[in-house]
Amino acid sequence: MGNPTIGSNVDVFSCYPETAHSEDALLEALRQGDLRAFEVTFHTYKSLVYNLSYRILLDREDALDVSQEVFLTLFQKIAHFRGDCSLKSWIFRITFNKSLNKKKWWRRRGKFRTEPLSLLHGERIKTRDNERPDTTLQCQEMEELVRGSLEKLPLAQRAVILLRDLQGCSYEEIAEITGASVGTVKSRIARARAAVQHTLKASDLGRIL
Amino acid sequence: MNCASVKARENDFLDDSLSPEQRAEVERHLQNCQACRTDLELLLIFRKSLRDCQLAPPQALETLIMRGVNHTLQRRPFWQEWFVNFSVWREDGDKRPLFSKLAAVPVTLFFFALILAEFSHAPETTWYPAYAMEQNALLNGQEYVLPVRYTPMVEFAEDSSPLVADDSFVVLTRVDRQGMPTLEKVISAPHNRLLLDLFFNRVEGIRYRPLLKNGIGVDSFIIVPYQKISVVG
Repeated sequence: MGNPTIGSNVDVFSCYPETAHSEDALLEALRQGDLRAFEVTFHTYKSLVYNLSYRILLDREDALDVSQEVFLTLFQKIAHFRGDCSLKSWIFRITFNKSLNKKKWWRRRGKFRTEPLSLLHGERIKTRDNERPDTTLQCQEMEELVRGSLEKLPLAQRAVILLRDLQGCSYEEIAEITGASVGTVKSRIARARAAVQHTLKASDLGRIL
Repeated sequence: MNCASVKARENDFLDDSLSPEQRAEVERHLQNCQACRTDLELLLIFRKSLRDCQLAPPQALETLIMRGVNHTLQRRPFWQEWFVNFSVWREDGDKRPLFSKLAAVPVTLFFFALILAEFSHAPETTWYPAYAMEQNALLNGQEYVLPVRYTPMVEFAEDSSPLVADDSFVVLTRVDRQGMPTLEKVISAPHNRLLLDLFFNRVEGIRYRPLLKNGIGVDSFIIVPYQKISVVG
C-alpha cells in the first residue's frame, strides 16, 4: 500500500510507465488499494464526474458533494466491481445514481433553491484560452443558454443527453449506466434534443440564426 | 429528400451513425433548406457549448477526497468501531452504529424511570407520617385520633374554656375541585366546641388535609405547641 498522503502537485502520471495506464493494470492496482492508482483515476475522471453531476443537478455545491461521494465509493467498493463494463461506465453509473439520490434528498426536504447570478459561474468556466475576454463572455452567454435548456428537461432526459453529448457515451453504454433499454435511451435522447431545440429556437440564438 | 425525412434522421446525423450515402443526401438537403440547417446548427451549438463551457473542479475536491480516503484507511474493525463510536456527542453527525444507538436506549429509560419515580411520590404520604396512619385507620374502619399537644398557656378566645391536654379535632370533609372542603361529619369532636368554628375560617398552624380518591377527606387540625393560634378572616 502506498503512502497515504500525496501532495496534489505531484505528477502522478510520471509514477507509472505507459503500460500501466491500461485499464486492466489500473483496475488491478485499484483493487489492491494502491493510492497512486486511485490518484491517477481521480485526475482522469474528476472533471468528467464533476461536470456530469453539475449538469444533472445544476448546483455546484451538490456537484462537489456528489463527486466526493463518487470517488470515495470508487475507493471503497472497487472490490465489488465485477468488470462487466468499462471503468468509465461504472464511474458514470455511480455518478448518475448519486446525483439522482441527491435530487431525491432535496425533494424529500422540499427545498427549492435558486441559483445565484450566472456571472458567478463565469469565474470558473474553463475555456480553451482564458486570456481572451471576448471568448469568456461568449462562453458565459452559451453557459446561460445551456443551463436554461437543461433546466427545462426532466431528469431522465437530462441525464441521457449529457451522457451522449457531454461525455460522448454510446447508446449501449448509456443504457448500461442508466439501467434502461437501448430503445428507451434513443427515444429519451430524441425527445431531449427536440426540447433543447425548442428552447434554443425561442432564445436570442434562435432568432439570430 | 424532404424536410420530414431529414428531421427523422437528425439524431442519427448528429450521432454520426448514418451511412455515407445517407449523410451525403442529408447534407445536400441542408445546403438548400435554411430551416433544417438552423435546427441542426442549434443542436450542434448546444453540444459544442456543453463540451467547451465546462467547469473546473474546485481544489477542495481533492483535499476532501484524500481526507475521506485516509479516514477509510485508518478505519478500525467493526467491533472496535462500535465501542469507540459509543459517545453521546459526535461532531460528524449521527454515524454511530446501531449497537451504540440501542445501547443508549436502556440508559435513557433508566434516567426517565428515576425522574418519574421522583415525581410520582405523593408528597403528603411521605412528608406526613401521621396522614398514612390516619388513612390506614380509616381504611380499617377504626378511628384514629391525632394526639394534639398544646400548651395550656395559649388562650383561644376570650369566652371559651381553656384548651385541655390531649384534645383532638378530626372531621370528615368533601373537597371540591377548587380544593375547598365542606364539612360532612364530625368524627372526633374537640372538647372545646369553638374549635369547630375554626373549620370555616383559616387557621395559622398545621393542618392535615388528606385527600381520598372519591373526594372524601379527613381534616385534622392540630395545635402546634407553644404557638399562638389566631383566627384569620
